[in-house]
Amino acid sequence: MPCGLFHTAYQTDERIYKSIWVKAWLVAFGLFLLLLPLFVRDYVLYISNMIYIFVVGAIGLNILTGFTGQISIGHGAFMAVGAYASAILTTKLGLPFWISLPCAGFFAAFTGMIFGIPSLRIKGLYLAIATLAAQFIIEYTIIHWERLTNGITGMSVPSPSLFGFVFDTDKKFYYLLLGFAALAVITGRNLFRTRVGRAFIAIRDRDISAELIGVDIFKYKLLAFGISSFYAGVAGSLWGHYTNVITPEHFTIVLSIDYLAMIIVGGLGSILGTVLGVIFMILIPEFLTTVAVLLKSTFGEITTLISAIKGLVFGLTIVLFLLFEPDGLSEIWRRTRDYWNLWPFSYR
Amino acid sequence: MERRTICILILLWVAAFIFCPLGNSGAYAAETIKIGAVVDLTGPTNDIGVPYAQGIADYFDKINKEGGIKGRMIEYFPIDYGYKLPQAMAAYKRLATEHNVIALIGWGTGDSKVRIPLVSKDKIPQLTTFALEQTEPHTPYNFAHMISYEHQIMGMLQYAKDHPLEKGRKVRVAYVYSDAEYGRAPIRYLKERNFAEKLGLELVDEQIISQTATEAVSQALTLKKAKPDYAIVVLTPKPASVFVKDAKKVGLEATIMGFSFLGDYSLLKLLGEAGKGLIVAAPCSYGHETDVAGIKKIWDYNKKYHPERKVIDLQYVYGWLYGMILEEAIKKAGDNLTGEGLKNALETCKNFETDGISRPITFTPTDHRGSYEFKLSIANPEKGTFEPLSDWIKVEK
Repeated sequence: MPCGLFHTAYQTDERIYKSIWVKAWLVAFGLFLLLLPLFVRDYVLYISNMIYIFVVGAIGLNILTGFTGQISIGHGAFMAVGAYASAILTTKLGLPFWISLPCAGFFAAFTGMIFGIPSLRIKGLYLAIATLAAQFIIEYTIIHWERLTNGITGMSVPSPSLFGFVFDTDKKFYYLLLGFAALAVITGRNLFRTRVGRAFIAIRDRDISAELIGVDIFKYKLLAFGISSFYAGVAGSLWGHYTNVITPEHFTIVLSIDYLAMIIVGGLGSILGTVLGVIFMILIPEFLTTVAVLLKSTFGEITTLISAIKGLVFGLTIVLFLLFEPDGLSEIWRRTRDYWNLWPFSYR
Repeated sequence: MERRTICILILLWVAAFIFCPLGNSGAYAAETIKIGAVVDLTGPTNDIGVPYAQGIADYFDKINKEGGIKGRMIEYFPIDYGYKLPQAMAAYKRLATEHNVIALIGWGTGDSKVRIPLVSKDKIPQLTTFALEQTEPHTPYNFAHMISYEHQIMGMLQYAKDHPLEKGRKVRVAYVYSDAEYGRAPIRYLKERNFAEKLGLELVDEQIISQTATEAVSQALTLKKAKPDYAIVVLTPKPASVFVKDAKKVGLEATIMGFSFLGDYSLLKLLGEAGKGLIVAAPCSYGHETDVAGIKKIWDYNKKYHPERKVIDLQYVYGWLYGMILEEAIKKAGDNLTGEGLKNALETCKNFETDGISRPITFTPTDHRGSYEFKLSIANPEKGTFEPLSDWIKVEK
């Protein structure tokens, strides 16, 4: 029995499936996800679908913030751009979902790149404020461009269909979203085995040295904004077609902060962490609601209190993670996995 | 070893969450009547959302303490959504598929509208506080007990027309409303129909106040320049207090008339002297009007079970009223106690007496607006209450 993995070439070190067991577990997990809808109720499906949508969006933000080091407080707004682009293309131009979805992605990417231009000159806190401006400008535009977006009332969005098969229930949408989430994870994971991905990481680690070794900083920063917003746009489009209604109230600054919380809790610069972070942040309010419902017999004070605690828990989680586990859930996951790897004969 | 225990516990919890229905907790028998509510306890409208939710909860509690409806207890599930749409959706899915409720009580205009197609599909009647577009055929499962916001405004416009400040010129009115859907929708409805102009009024200005505003000086100043005689305000108490205070500060002379959610004691307290002369629409009786039989019942219940409660808010009365209507519908539905049966029972409610809390409520298969009547009250800051200004006003459909 091996007591560790030894790499003798860089190629094997770069592998995603480091051993046959990783592959086997992934296949088992994939099968579990594929069979899940057969056993669970609509409510669990809805929660899973939310998780899949936010996985797509959060991976986008992690590419920008976790891997390239460019903080963004406007991610929710780029999601809005995608959602509205897709809604307008399908309702006003009558395009099918399968065309409007990539269009939404590219449109969001374009918007993201425009707001990413200041990133060449400013970094850190200042860039955060610039992206915050993006959030407010986009929100304002959507609310006031009533002829195109219906303003605050929102737009109704049709369900997607494929050869007459309409994705109109939670179960049907589950498989569609599972596919997109898987695609987002695979592309996100592989991005960092390419030249572009390595350039992103070089910029994050030290932008001046990156420039010295020949990375075109402006190009790659803009590219990071573009790719990140593309993911956000796709997530927005999926969200719109899933809920069938979008209003600007979905895409406020709160959503952008939620996204940041997801990747901080999950782990900056980790795709697995992103997925864990999304699951964690979506399940926490649902868990607290469950507690509130279980204690329902004494409404008044307790229900109100637990509802208020949601906000407290949310803030506390972020602070505690920043303090005690800055690498997030992905680091906890790694340690737990290592523990089980050698259990029960651990010699650490 | 500790880590292993934690891992196993987490796995168990996740498995339980995914596979075990939460709805059928053992404490209640299967014969309970399940009713859900999607309420705002923590969001930007929680100042009035909490008493509303309390009113509903207390009414069902009262039914249960009196032995239920024909021996069947009510099981009530209030879920907070913080005025956020995704959470409202999750709450709805939970109520509909997890707890299998047969009726739903809503709160926000925006999220209730999103649910209209869903409740029609799932056949769960939804009672909401707004009453827009209730008559349209595609909202068969949506009901509203009180007069709609746009009908309230119509009534207030009529009042403005009947009480001109200066003879010989048109009465000048202005709209001040929230950027949330509950404010925009009724104003849009009236503007599309040019309602004020048709009445012979002059619409001189309109101002939009953010739901989370902390100041409204610029809006108040612009409004002052337009010199309206009456400013009609569609805001919940929080933004309304901001606007009214700033309006007094800049010296706006117009009479301020607010829609039903301004009838709030805490708002009066916040406003102090600035609240003088504030006219408010009221679709039902206030908590201090103890001579009304229905209000007296509320106080009797509260003195017995919640002696610490000294104030009954208007929103509490709305919530209570929903409980009364649902009880009536459940009684009418008899053994056919499904969402569909309840909807049909609601549609047979004719002149349902609410012990004077509101006007008699009537639903028909083509009209799900329970009432077209309201009265106007005027604020009395010294006493901290609202005093009647008009009798019940009936607005044309």
